[in-house]
Formats: sequence, C-alpha cells, structure tokens
Amino acid sequence: MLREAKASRYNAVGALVLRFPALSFVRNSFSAVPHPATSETESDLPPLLPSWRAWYWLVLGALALEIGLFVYLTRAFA
Amino acid sequence: MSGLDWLILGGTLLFIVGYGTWRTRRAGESLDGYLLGGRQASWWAIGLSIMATQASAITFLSTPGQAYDDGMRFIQFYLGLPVAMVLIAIFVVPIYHRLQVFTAYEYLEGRFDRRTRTFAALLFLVQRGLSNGLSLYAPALVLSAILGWDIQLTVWLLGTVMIAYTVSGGTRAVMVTQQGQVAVIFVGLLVAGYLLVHYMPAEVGFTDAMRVAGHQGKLNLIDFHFDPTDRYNFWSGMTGGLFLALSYFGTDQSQVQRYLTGRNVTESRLGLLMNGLLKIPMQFGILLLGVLLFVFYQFNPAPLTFNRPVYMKVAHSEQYGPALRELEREHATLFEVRRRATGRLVQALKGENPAAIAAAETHLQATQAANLGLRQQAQQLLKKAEPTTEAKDTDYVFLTFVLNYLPQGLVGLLVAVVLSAALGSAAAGLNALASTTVVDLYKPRRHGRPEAHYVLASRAAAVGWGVLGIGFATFAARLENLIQAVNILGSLFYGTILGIFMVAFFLKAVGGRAVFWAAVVAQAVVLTLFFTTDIGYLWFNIIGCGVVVAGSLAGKAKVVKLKS
Repeated sequence: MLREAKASRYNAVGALVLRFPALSFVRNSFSAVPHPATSETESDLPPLLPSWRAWYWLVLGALALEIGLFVYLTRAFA
Repeated sequence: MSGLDWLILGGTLLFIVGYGTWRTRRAGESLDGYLLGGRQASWWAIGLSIMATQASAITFLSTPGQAYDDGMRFIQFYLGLPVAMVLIAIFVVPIYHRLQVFTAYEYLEGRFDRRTRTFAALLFLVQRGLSNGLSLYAPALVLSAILGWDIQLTVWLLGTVMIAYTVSGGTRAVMVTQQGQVAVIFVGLLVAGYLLVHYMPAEVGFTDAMRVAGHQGKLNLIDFHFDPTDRYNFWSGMTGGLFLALSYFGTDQSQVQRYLTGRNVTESRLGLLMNGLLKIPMQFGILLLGVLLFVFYQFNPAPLTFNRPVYMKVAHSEQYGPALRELEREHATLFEVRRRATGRLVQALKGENPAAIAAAETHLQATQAANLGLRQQAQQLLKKAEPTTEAKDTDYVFLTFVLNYLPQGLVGLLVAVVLSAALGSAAAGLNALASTTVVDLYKPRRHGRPEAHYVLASRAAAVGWGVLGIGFATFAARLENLIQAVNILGSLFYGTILGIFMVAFFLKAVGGRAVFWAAVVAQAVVLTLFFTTDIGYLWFNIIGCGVVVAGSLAGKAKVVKLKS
C-alpha cells in the first residue's frame, strides 16, 4: 500500500484521475494523490478562455491551421 | 560598422547587462531565490524566457542560412512542439509544482532511486555542457567576422562576460534580460524582412519574390514523403520532433527551470502554451528571411563565399590565392547571367505563359547549378587552405546582409540583439548546469549545510561549466552547421532522458533497477546507431525513448516472473 501511494504521488495518471471524475472507474488503481489543495481549484482556472481544455484546443487548432497554410504555400508556389 | 553602430551596440549591451544586474541585486540570498527567482514569475515572463532560452544567436544567424541553402523545410522540425507544450502542460507541470522541486531530476529520486536521478542528471550535464559551448561560438563568429578578431580570443572574451553576468544575478537576472531581448528580436526580424523586400528591384514585389523562391524549390515547407534517412519531413517532425520537444521542454533543466519559476501551475502552463502558439510563426519568419535573402541575392551580387575573413586570408596566399580569385571572376560573370535569367522568370510569371515560365525556369536552374558548382569549388579550396575552417558558409549569410545593406545604427542594434540573445541563452544554460550540479550531485552528498553554502557552490559550478563551455567552443568551428550540430547533440541524449521520465510518469509499476539498466542500454544503442548508420538524427529521440520504455517493461516482467 505504501509503495503504491508513493508511486501515485509521482504518477501523472494518478493526478489525471483526480482531474477527470469520469475516469473514476480506474480510481482503485491509484490511491489518493497527496496535496489535494494543488489540484485544479478556482485559482488554477485559466484567464481569457473558459477552461484549460479550450486553451489546449486553441494551441492544437493553431498548429492545424499552420500545417494547412504550409501545404498551401508548398503547392501554390511550386 | 560606423561610430553610431558601435555606440548603439555598446550602449544596448551595457544597458541589458547593467539593468539585469541592478534589478536582481538581491536575488542571491537563498537557494530558491538564486536558482528559481523565488518562484514569483508571471506567465508572460515565463513564456518569453522559454522562447529566449531556445532562440539563441544560433537561431538568428544559422536559420536564415539554412533556408537560403536548403529552403524552408526545416520548419517541419518544429511541428511536434505545440503538441509537446500541451502534453507537458497537462501531465508534467502539476507534478513538478506539487513536489516543489528545484530540478527535473530531483523528481526521479522520489519516483525511483538516487542512482537513476544521478544518471539522468549526468546525461543532461554532458549534453548541455557541450551545447552551451556551441551557443558561445555563434556570437564569437559574429564578432570575428566584423572585427577580424581571432575567434578563440573572442570566445574567451564573450565567455568571461557571460560567466560574470550569470554568477552575479542568477535565474532572475537571466529572465529579466530575456524579456527585452525577445521584444527586440521580433522588431529586428520585422525590420530586416521589410528592408529585404524594399531592396528588391522596383518590378519585384513580395509575391513575385515568393514565386521566384517557389520555382527555385525554396518553399518546400511540407513533405509528406516518408524516408527515415531524410532529416526533415512531416513524419519526422510530428514524431521525432515531438519526442525531442517533449524531452527538451519536459526534462531539460535549462527549460524546466524557466517554468519552475512560475508562482503557480496556471502561470507555468500559460507560459508553455504561449511558446506553443508563437514558436512556429517565429521560426517561419526567420526561415522566410533566409528565402527572401536568396531572392535578394538573385538581383544583387552575392560573395563567392559568405565566410569573408577566411576568404580574404586565402585570397592573399600565394598557393591558393590565384585559383580563388579566378573563381571569383567567373562567379561575378555568372551573376549577371543569373540576374537576367531571374528577371526573365519574373516577367514570365507575370505574363502567366506556361511555355515562357518553363523556358525561364530551365535557364535559371542551369545558372543556379553552375553557381552552386563554383561555390562548392571555392569551399573545397578554402577547406584545403584552412583545414580547421567551417565547411559551410550558411551561418554567415544573414550577417553579411546585415553588415553590407542595413543603414547606420540598425547594424549596431541587430548585432547587439544577436549578442545579447546569445548571452541570455547561454546564461540560462549555465544557470541550469549550475543548478543540476549542486542540487542533484553536490547537495545529496553534502547535506545539511546552510543555504549560503549552496548558493556559493552554485556560483562556483557556474564558473566551472562556463570555462568548460569556452573550451568546447574553441572546437565548434569544425562543425558543419551550428543549428544542426546543436540539435544532433540534443537528439543523442534526449531520447534516453525522455524514456526515463515517460516510465516515471506513466508506468507506475516499474522500479528503479529496471529503468536504470534500460536507460544505460538505450544510450549505448543510440550512440552505436549514430556512429554506424545514417539514420536521420530526429529518429534517435524515438529510438532512445522506445528502448528505455521497452527495456523497463521487460525488466519488470522478469522481476515478476522470478518472484512468482
């Protein structure tokens, strides 16, 4: 038990389970992550956009647009 | 350079170093203050610092030359970076913040054992110690070309300034100076790009320049053809580039230290995402400068070789001088032919006549091939006369334009930007080397000393690594292309380090023994492949990481089998 608790403290998947309750079916695999005060709270919410997920999609969307632009430039000026 | 240029160059450098030192004069009171700036940084300061740490003088000098020579396909190297920023923001940042670590490797001791932490820290120290030497060589290249100074003397002078600056101010000094540097870099890029288009012939606009570049194969931004021996294509960028970025930003202390300075998870995450949004447009702009330079030199005489200090030396020698001067004459004659051929292509493109376009393109390609042949002959001659000289001259392309064509004052400012960016980036590396040496190697063996003792040890480590970097920089002139050399060096070690962290983050059942030996084997495999095959270097990131993960799982399975 002690070993598992230590592992989950240092494990990204353990933190992920806490952030997304929908993944609670795997909760048994990971014991509670210590320092719960540092999980996503009001102060951890991002500015400008409503959620972190929106920020991540913004970055990935920008990448998709850039790739599209590069494909266009490669073909248009070849 | 004119008196005004010297004034602006000296004034800017003095202001940056002076302001950084003044603003951070109380930074060295505690280890937390010296190494992490008291963990008070905001997201924009972190974002700018991350960008400035990655974008050194090498980026500014070498990348335009890369595009001038090889087109814009180097942009594909960065395609994995935004994905890496998102993954690190989700998985890595909360863990580092929760554990309040000083270095990325500190985390590995809690997760595995001290041996694995020490091994990862050593891999980082070797790789970053060598890379920092290259970061020093780049600005030395600038000064030696401008002043005709001995490059090794220049390396020592710059290195000494860098050491003094880093040792006195610590992380906060590095970050404060980087904020101004990034802003000036963007301004410098825009001004240089505008002037490049402005200096084209009246009948050649930006779109015409792009079309000429495209017909010369320089706008080769995306290539979906899969070839493991090809360094830059979509697949190597999205996989190898992703793994390299994950490793660089997630496990390289020089970057981890930037976002560990954030006052909370939100600030650190936004700093990384800001880099994910701005990095590709920034690199696109720098590469576009190189392509515009290529078109510019279709209408303006380019030197036979951009490495003028070496050219002048050889041109005056009795043995090789006559042959080199003859090549220069042929090159000048060929330029007139090439200029007319480019003009005909522009006219044909404007007339949209396919037959005329094809004819002009064929003619231009023939002159380009002849030009390339002359340049290669000249480079071979220079190499024969000066065996220790740089084989390619692409690192000098942008610099030559700045010195020969930019107006008074702006030359000094751009050179100051290059030098201060170089110093800022190298200082961040030096700062990280000192942190890792003290926190991961020294402190665990000399536990319980006062804070001031560790701050002093950090300063001493910075001096030691600075001197080692200077030593390595004196050999950098023998490397082919600076930016590629830095990335190749990183790829040799990053895969293994990333593998260790991947296992740490995602394979909770694997213990220290399995991951340690898997990492040792992975590093041996990567080095063997590098020396015996011609696999594109980006793939080493995946191979190193894959061997560590697979080896760790295999090692774990063996332990379970033995126990049962």
